[in-house]
Amino acid sequence: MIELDRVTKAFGDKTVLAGISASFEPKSVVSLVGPSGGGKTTLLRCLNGLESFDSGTIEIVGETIRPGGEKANRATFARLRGRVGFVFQQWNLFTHRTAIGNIIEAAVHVRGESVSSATSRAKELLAKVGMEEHGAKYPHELSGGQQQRVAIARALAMKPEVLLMDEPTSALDPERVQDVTELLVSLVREGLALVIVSHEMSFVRAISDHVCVLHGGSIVERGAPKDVLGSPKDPRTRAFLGLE
Amino acid sequence: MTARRVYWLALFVACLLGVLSCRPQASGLAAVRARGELRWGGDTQGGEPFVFRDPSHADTLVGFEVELANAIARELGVRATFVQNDWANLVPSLERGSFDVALNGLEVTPARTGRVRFSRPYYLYRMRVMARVGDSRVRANIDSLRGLRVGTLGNSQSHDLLRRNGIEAVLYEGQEEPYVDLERGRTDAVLLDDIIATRYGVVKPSLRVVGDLGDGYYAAAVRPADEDLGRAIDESITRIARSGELRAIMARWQIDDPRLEAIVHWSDENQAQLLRTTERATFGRSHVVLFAKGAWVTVRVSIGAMLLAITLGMLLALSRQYGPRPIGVLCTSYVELFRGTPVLLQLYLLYFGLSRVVQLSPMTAAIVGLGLNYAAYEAEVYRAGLQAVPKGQMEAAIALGMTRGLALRRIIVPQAFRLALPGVTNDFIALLKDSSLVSVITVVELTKQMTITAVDVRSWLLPGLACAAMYFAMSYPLSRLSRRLEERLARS
Ligand SMILES: Nc1ncnc2c1ncn2[C@@H]1O[C@H](COP(=O)(O)OP(=O)(O)OP(=O)(O)O)[C@@H](O)[C@H]1O
Ligand SMILES: [Mg+2]
Repeated sequence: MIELDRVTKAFGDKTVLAGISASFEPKSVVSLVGPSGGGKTTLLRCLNGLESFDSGTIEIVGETIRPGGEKANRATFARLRGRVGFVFQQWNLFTHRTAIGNIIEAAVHVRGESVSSATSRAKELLAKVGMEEHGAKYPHELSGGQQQRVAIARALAMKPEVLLMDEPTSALDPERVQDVTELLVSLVREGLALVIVSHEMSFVRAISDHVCVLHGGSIVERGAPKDVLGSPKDPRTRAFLGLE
Repeated sequence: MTARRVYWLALFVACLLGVLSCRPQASGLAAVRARGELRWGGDTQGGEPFVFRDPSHADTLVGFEVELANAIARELGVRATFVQNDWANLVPSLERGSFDVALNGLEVTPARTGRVRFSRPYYLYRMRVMARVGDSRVRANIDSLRGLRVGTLGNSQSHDLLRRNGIEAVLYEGQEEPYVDLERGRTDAVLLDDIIATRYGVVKPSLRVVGDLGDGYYAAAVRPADEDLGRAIDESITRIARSGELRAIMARWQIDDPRLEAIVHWSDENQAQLLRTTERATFGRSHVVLFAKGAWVTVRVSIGAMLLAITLGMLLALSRQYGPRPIGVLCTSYVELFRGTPVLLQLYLLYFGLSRVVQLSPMTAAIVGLGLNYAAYEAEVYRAGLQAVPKGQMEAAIALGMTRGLALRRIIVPQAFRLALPGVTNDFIALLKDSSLVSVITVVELTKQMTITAVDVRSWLLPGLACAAMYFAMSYPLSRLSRRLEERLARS
C-alpha cells in the first residue's frame, strides 16, 4: 500500500531524509516515532506531496510520486490528494468558514458535489466525530480537541484511503487523548489506513500495527509496537525511549 | 455620543471659529504709506496677459496688471509688491489681510460688490462666446446656449450669467483648458472674457468667435474698512487713465480698444451705476440643496473609485505575491509610480493629457483617476493582509486537492480581505476627502459647490461648516464601521 524506495531530502546542506526505504501493509496503522528533528514531519509531508524530495520514489494508493515536487507530479497529485488525507498538527481549519463550511469546501469545489448533498454528508461526518451540535461554529469558537475533530471530518469528506496525521495528541488534554484514540480505532475498523507521527508512546502502543523509529533521517528500527517499544534492539531507540 | 466625544467636537468647533474670526488690524492708506509698499494680490497662473512670469526671465513678472499696479503704486508714492494667491480665493485672502488690494481680472459682479470695496474699473471686457467651426447651433445670444454644455471659469461673471439663465456650466480652474475641451468636443461652447478668448481660444484654428453677450468691468478691490485707500486708488486710476497711460499699457499688450474711452472718461455716476446692484444672497435652503447634490457627486465618485481600487488593488497584490516575476516587477512599479506622484497630476494627465487618445467624460476620468491612484494604496493594504494569512491555510487547501488558484480564490483572498478591511475602510474615508480634487477636471462635487457658494454668499463660515458637517456625516459612520471591524477581527 505504501512503498518508500531510497527517499532522500535535504534542506540546503542539511540532510533530513537519508535514503529511506520501507513498505507498509495495506489498511494498517503505522506510527513514526523518534527524537525531535528526526525527519518525521518531513517524511509525512512527502507522502502527499506537501514537501518535495530529492531522489527516490514513494508509492502510495497505487500512485508513484517522483522527486521534483508539484511541477513533476501535477497529474499524480491531482489524483492523489483526495485519496490521501492530511490532518495538521495545528489543524489549520479555514478560519472564515464554520465547521460545516470547512467540511464541504473541498467536496463542493474539488469533487463537484452539490452543496446540499455535501452538507448532509458533512452532518453525518460531524456526528461520527461526535460534533453534531457544533456545525455552525467558527474555528475560534471551538476548543483544540473540537477543532481536531472537525479537521478529521474535513479530511474524511474527501473519502480518503489513507489519513496522515501529524502529532494528533500533542495539543490535547490527557482525557481527550482517549477520545481521539477511540475515534481513530473506529475509523480503522471501517477500513481507513493511518500514518501517524507521535511522541505519545502509550497512544502509539494502543493504536499502531507497526512502528518506525526515525533518527537523523533514517529508519533505525521498525516492527510491531510490542517489540520496538517493549524490547528495542537499537541503542538509539533505547536512548529515545529512555531505557538506558 | 459620549460626553467625551461632545467635548472634543466642541473644542474643534471653537478652534475653527477662532481661526475664522481672527483678523489682523486694518492697514488702510496710512499703513501702506508707512510701510512704503502696496501689496497687491494676484495669481500668476491666470497667465498672459494679466500677470505671468516672463518666459525669458523667470524671476520677473510681466503683464498689463503688473504695469498698472506699478503705476498705481507710483501715484501713491510707494512701491508695488506682488503677493501670489490662488485666483478663486483672492477675495477671502484680501479679507483676511494677505495683501492690501486684489488686482487680477477681478470682475465687478453683484455677488462681490457687497463684499469688497471696488475701485473704479480699469478695463471694460466683453463676455465672448466661442464654438467649434461648423457648429451652427451656437449663436450670439444666451438662448441659443440652452441645452448645451458651456465651459467657463467658476465664479466668473460668465458663470453668473449662465447660472441665472439655467444653462449647464462646465467649470474650469485654468484658462486654457476650456478651449482644449471645446476643441475635443467635451463642451459645445465657451463663454469667457474676450481677453481670455483672444489669447487662448482664437489661436485654435478649429474654433471660431461667435459673438459677445454683454460687457463687464475689471476693478481693483480693497477691504471696505480701507475706504481711504480705495479712494486714493480711484484717484490714481483716474490720473493714469486721463493721461493716456492706461490705454498705452493696454496697447502694449494688444488689448486696447476704442471702447476703453468709456473707462478714460469714467464718472461718479458711472461708478454709482456699476455698483448699484449688490446681491445680498444668504446661505439658505437652496444652497443646502446644491450641497446635497454636490455630496451625491462626491459619494458617486468615491464609491466608483473605491470599487475600482479594491478590484485592481487585489489583482496587483496577488500578482506581486503569487504571479511570475516579470509581472510582479511590473505591479511593484505600478504601485511605486502611482503612490509616488501627486494624484492631482494624474488627474490632469488622464483628463487633459490623454484627451487626444481617449476622451473620458469628467465623471469617468474622476473615477478612473482616483481609482487607479487608490489601487496602489489598496495593493499595499492587501499585501499586508495576504502576508498575515498563516501558511497553513494554503497547505490545508492544497492537501484537500485544491489548485493554487482555487485556494487563493476560496481561502486566502477572503481571509486576507477580512484582515485588510479596517485598512480599506480607512482608505475609503481618505478617498472621500481626496475626491474634492476632481474639481480640477470640471466635476462639481461637494467642496467645489462650497467654494462657489461661499463666493456667492460672501462668507466662508456657514458654507464651510455646512460642508464640513456633510463630510463628517459621510465619514463618521465609516470610521465607526472600521473600528467595529477591527474589534471583531481582534476577537476572532
Ligand atoms: N522548511 C524547512 N527548512 C529548513 N529546514 C527544515 C525545514 N523543515 C524542517 N527542517 C529541518 O529538518 C529537520 C527535520 O524536521 P522535521 O520537522 O521533519 O522533524 P520532526 O522529526 O518532525 O521533529 P519534531 O518531533 O520536533 O516535530 C529538522 O532539523 C528541521 O530543522
Ligand atoms: Mg514534527
